[in-house]
Amino acid sequence: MEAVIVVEVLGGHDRVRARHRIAAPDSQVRVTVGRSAACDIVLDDPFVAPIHARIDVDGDGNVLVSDLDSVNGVEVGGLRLHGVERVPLPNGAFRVGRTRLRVRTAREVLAPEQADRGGPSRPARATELKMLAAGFVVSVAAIAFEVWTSTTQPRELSTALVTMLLTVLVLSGLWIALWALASRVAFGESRWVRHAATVFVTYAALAAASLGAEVLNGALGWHVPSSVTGPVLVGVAAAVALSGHLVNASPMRAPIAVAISVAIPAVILSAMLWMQARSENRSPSHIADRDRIVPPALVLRRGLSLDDFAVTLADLKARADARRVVAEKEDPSPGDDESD
Amino acid sequence: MIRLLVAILVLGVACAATAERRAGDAARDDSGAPQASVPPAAAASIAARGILDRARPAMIQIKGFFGTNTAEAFHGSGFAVARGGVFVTNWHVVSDAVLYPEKYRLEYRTPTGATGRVLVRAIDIRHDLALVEAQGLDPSPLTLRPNVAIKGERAYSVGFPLDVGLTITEGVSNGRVEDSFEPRVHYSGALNPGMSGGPGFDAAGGVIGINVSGYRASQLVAFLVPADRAVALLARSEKSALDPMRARSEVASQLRAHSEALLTALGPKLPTQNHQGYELPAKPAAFVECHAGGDPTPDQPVHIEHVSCDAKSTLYLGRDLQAGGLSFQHQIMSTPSLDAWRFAYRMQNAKTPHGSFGAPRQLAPFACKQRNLDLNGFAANAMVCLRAYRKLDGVYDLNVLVVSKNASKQGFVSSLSLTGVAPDQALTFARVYLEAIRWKP
Repeated sequence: MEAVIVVEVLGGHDRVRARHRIAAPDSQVRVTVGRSAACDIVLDDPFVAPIHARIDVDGDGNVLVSDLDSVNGVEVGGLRLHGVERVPLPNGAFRVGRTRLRVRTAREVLAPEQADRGGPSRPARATELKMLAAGFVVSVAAIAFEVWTSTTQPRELSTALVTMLLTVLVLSGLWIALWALASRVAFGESRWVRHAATVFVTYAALAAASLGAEVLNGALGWHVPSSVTGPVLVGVAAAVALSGHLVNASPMRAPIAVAISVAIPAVILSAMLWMQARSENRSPSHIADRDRIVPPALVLRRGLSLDDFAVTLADLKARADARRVVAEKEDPSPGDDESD
Repeated sequence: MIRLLVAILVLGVACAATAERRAGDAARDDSGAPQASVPPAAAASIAARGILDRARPAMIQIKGFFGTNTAEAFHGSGFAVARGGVFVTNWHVVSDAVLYPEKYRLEYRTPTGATGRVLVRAIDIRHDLALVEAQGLDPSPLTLRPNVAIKGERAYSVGFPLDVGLTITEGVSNGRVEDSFEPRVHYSGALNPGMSGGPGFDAAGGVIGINVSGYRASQLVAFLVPADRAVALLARSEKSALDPMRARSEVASQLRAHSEALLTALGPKLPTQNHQGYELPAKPAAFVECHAGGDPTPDQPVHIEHVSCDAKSTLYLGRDLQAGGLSFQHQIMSTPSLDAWRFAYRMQNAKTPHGSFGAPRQLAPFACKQRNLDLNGFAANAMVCLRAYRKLDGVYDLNVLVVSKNASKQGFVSSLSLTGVAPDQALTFARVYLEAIRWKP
């Protein structure tokens, strides 16, 4: 019976660099490995002898390796062996010089194929490119809108716009490069389009959500202060972006990557909000401005009458007293120079 | 407001005095008897000698000491107003000792060098006066003149400035200060730190007032509390010393009474002035000082006019604590060129309250209510905030911030600050303030 084996030459991350298919008319296969053209498998590794090792597959399908008196020997299961004869290879893998080889036989047991439930599991590169383009355009538009809002003169606008865009491009470029590097280390490919799309799509969504929250606040009197919506939106965006980056730049399983990505912004954000609340609880000078001023065309809801407003002020004294109680409890004796 | 900031209470503080001591050594000959040989002098100077001779036996320097220190923490002046060793001085001279009796002690020193303890009997923070008892002293009191000195009358002030010994300064009375909420006599003469609580005399030797404050940056602009305020305090004072446990509640109730009088003086309706269609509160009483201005440069994307009014009614309550003031500010903005969105952004940035500064020792944080309002027929946003005093019961600060939301090319930001007031009166006045604001293009 004819025997067939495949010898794979592996590179970094166990990637197959070359695959040699060798058939023998009988059930036994014998393959030589070395730099010499006389060998069945020719390697370019300078640490490999002209005729370095021999691979045998016996009639039972066992893969065995022999060292042909090389200087560097063969490495099996992490042990370097010299002058050995017919050492069994449990998983078919061994090393000669600095090259790793894997021997596969027809008897190898393989996992069943993955079920294909329609479409690729990750967006195709074209989709990624489209998302990147959309995210980038919206991000740049959002930055330009913000700069435009905060300036009044065309000259001022152009300077601020160029400065802002350059800063954002440099910073996001560095950020994307960092993650691309991490992907390259982990998976041997940069995935820079995916990382760039993650950055710009998240930023675009964040900018749109922040603007939406501000307009809703001003238009409808939605009383959530920007000091809360701001950090929360940034936190959510950071969690989403970090998951996108981590899943694509680390071999860890997706649920763990997502958990880490949620945990980091959540911890930082809650610490910040806690410190903010703490300082507000002791600062007599702090007045939280909760409402945005928007153009009159965007004011959609009629405000309270003065009488109704006076009714809502009824509990103000009780709330001021409660803040006094909290201040006395949290900060019974503030320092002399802490007036702020 | 400018005047308030500049008016310096003439309380001497130890460190201020040392710098001047060397210069003042020459003047230290006043503690003994009048000098034997008097050089020829003009009539006015002879009058000053007579006043000083008359005042000398009734004068004390009041010194405050921190803990068990023998070096003083601060000093001021006082003079006898009644038999039994009853002296009058300024509240701000003795306030530390009243509010922190466990930390400060008061002593007196007469021009002849006698010393002893000082006990506070009564306080009047509204007029910055205190009655004290100097133990072991009983000089004949000076005569208090109940009517206010007229403009142009010769006047003198006596005290212990900068710790250089008993000193008299000569000047002119400019009568009662017009447009001042609390009564003050304008004395055009020198008043220096340490003279607080000393007497101001007319040419006949009658006490027309009590030294209280002066402007450092101006020349010879100083103020006396009219003598009738001391007469009134004397009439309602008790024979015994002020109970230290009651001192804070006394300060709180006098502060509330001051603020109530202030709000009553303003009346139930505020006058307004129209600024680009907005009726905004204007100078509500003669004693309220208002300033208005803006950047005159043309071609600005946003034109801003500032109006600020201050009742100059702030009282000194103690170190790091002043209250009883009322001030409001408007910023009226308009744009010839900006679009509605960017103009709204500028309005949002201008939306900051004024007068919210406060020391955490004295004040709790603000509690606020902010709502979009249909304010007398136009869209606006209003915020009303109240904060409690930590060591004075029943006293609050009010802050109101109003911003228009009805027009895309003009608008206003108005802010009111009222300090040291009872909460119900604060909220009533907030309503008065909001009711005054109208849209009348």
